[in-house]
Amino acid sequence: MDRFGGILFGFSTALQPDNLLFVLAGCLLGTLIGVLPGIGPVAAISILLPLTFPLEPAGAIIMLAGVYYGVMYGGSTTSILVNVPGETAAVVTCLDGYQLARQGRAGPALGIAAFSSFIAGTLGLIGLQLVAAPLARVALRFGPPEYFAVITLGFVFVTCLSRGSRIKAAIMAFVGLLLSGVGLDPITSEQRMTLGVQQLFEGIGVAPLAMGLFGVAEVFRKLAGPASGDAPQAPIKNLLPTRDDWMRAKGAILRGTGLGFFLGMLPGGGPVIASFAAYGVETWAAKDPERLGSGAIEGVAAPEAANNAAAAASFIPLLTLGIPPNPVLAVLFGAFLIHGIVPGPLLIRDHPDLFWGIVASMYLGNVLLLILNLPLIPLWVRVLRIPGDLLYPLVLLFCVVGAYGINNSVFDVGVMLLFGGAGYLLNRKGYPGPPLILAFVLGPLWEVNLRRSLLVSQGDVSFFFTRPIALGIIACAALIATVPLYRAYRRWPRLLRKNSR
Amino acid sequence: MAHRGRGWAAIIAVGLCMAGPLRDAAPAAAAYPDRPITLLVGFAPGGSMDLSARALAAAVKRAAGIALLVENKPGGTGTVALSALLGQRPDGYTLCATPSSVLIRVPQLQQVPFRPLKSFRPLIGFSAPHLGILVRSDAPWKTLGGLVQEAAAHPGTVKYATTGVGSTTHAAVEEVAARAKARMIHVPYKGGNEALMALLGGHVDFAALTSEFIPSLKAGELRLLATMGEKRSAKFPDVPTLREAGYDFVNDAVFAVVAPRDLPGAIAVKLEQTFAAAVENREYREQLDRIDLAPVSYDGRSLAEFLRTNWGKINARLVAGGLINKAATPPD
Amino acid sequence: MPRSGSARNRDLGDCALWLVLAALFCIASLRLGVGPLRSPGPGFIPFWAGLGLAVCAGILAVSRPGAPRHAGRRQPAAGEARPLGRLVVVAGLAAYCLALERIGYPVATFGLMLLLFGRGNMRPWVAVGAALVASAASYGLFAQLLKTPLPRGMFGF
Repeated sequence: MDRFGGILFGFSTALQPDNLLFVLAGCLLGTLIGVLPGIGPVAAISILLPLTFPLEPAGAIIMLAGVYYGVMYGGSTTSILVNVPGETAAVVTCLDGYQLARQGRAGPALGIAAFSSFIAGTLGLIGLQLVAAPLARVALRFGPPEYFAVITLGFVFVTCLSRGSRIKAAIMAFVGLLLSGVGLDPITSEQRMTLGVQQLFEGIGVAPLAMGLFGVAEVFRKLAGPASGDAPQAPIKNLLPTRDDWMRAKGAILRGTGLGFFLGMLPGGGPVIASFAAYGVETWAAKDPERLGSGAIEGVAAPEAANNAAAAASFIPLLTLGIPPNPVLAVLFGAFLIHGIVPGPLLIRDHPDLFWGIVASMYLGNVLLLILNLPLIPLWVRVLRIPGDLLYPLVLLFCVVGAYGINNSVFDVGVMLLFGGAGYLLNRKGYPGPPLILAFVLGPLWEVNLRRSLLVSQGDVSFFFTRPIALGIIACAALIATVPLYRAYRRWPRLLRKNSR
Repeated sequence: MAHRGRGWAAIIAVGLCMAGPLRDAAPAAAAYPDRPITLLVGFAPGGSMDLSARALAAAVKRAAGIALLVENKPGGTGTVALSALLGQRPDGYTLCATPSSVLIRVPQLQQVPFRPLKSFRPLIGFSAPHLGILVRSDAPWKTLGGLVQEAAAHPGTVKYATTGVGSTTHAAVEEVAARAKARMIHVPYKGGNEALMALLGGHVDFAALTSEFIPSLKAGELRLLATMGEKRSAKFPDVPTLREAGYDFVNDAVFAVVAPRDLPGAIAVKLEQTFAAAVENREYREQLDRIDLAPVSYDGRSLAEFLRTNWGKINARLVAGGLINKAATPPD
Repeated sequence: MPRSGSARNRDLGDCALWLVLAALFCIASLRLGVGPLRSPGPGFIPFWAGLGLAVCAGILAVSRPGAPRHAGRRQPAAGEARPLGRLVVVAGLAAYCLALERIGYPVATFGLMLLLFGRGNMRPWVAVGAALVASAASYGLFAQLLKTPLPRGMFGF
């Protein structure tokens, strides 16, 4: 069966009434989970997993997959409205999305998020359908040095990611790197900086950290302000993206899709890293980087496109190699096994109905999600009219439950509140949060791959320069790093003059 | 302002009155079990520990009509759930399903709040992962002996991946290497999937893996050189065990259920019997096979013995490998 | 630039904090073992990251506060009106964390929401109602619909 015959065949499976119902149920539930902060796709899918045991395999997998990409759609909503990332892949969406909402442009932000999710999701699926197997092989060629190179590139973007003081951004990045080191050593399993606290063995959770640093810090800021003097929201201008928004966003959507697709396929990658990287690329690609972070529509479009493309692409290694590249797919892997189906190279041969049915259902799901999400926008925008005295305690409540729900542990709630306080103070002092969270997310991958590379090469650093892919990426990183350095060099005398005045 | 203050006072008073009677609602004693039993799992849902615990819960429900509710408490490489069990009343309503490694290897590498061989009452060992040493199918080595010979002839060139430092898989390779006096480069990965990917991508020469290798093996991309059990695996009858391959040792891991130490004898007996009957269930065995696990059946006593002997074995290996001087947590 | 003097002093305070943090991490890393390049130890990355932090903090300390392009952008324009209120919120949240697993989710959450709503300009009975609805609704959504095992306390719910 060729790829096009296959997809038609897949639609015949996916369009069966009960499967259609499962797509819808999965998408709805995913959107809900995405909107609720804290609880992410892993928790959601694993909670649902036991409920799918009695279902047909196709229906079960279709629904669980629907939850996954539904979360990617829903996650941006609270990021934009109240600066609380709905789940980790939507952390970067806070940066510009929330600023847009404060300018009364929550509608266009939500709209562009939905459209770019749809476009990227669909393009990602086309990629999955056409080039899945060969691409998965390419991804396997990615060894420790290549990872190290890619993540180094990500760190270079940190410098671009920051607004305000570069040196404060660098400080935040190092703090993020240090915090990411807390927990068991990824190579030797020794305890590091855990102070003997058992809950820290597996490190500080990224979701509580991000929710604290962004959402809870914002709530604290509001609660600490004058009781009634809630800064008047700018009047709501329009509900859908304007022509101008589209012109600005289209490049970002395509770049985000491409990057997200590639990073989603890599083991250990996935939507979270994809969204960060896409935002980094935007700051670099923008003609006027200053706009990013102060309410640029591309700052919403790129990460939202990237996380959806990554979600679609992350099915590739699972379906073609039988290897889940990230924790969500690992749970889905379990779902396959429970139903007696082994995902992997033989899946498309042994269960073509299932393989193509899943792909087709994801096309349907993306359409459904767009249809579902657009009418919700006016409703969401209305959330902003809730008085602050009522809204912010409620936001805090949802953060608390969400943080608890990640590991069913009060410890995570405490971590979130602690970082909420820290984020509030850092904000007041002009330290930017994004570099911290980026370094925190990328740090462990960077470390483990650097150390693995050195182990494999027995300490020979030239290793990185003998592998063409790694060398290419490192060269890119060097190039990108030197551009702002060069700019800074040219600006330096001017700055010195200004300061000595 | 004064008016508001009075309003609050009234509310607090009402609240206190309502909270009073609630305190005395203590549950009456009845025949065990009169309500669902919570089964803590120290890992996230969807992994093999979680799936097999859920399979066990379903089997218990079928065999004895007793409801076991799986509650995931992931964290601390599985130690958070066991520590949570420590604080529970020993009434048989809270149990914990855990891989044996969390009672053996993890406490030796990290300090944990429980005494692995003393704080709990082992009830049953109910399933086990397949363990094996694998190469890519295009690799030149057809037997484990050939691979080890090559490693011995060229020290420091053969690279291998495992599921982590001090894991059962790592311990097995180290043991083989020590016996053959071969020096190989260990590249530890986090869990079986990452290690499998490193092997498939050709970043290491061979790998010691848990059940994750089965799909790729079935697809003909890998070659299984040896399994690590006592006997040949029923799933791979053509593959020799380590012992048959000339390395006289067995390397086992088992998924177990434990209760707080002071569990009353009658309840412990009841639970052991219930579990023993449940694992004989045919549907349970089919389900295990689907998630690529092997059924085992250790009763409480033999499980305790298993833990004790393996504590000593793993301890010796970790010390010999220079990873620890002595166990981070005392066993009892 | 009216802020140079005071801004500089404020940054110096931060720098001291970062230096202490960096020192703590570096010392801990050295104890863990930085290891040779051939096989880097657990302290390898934290050590260099700590060093990097220290260097950056040093640069921040000696550099004059230039014209920060966006500093203060996020600071509230109005003054901090309720210093005591902030303390109450922090204390309330700390108490909530400690109490959550003892008295159970619904009761603890009701208390917290009552505190937070009560700080606003709501009438007491409205605040109680809102707190009741919020805690009950969130319990229903998470514990019942999404099956999150929220903590049950001594009251059995």
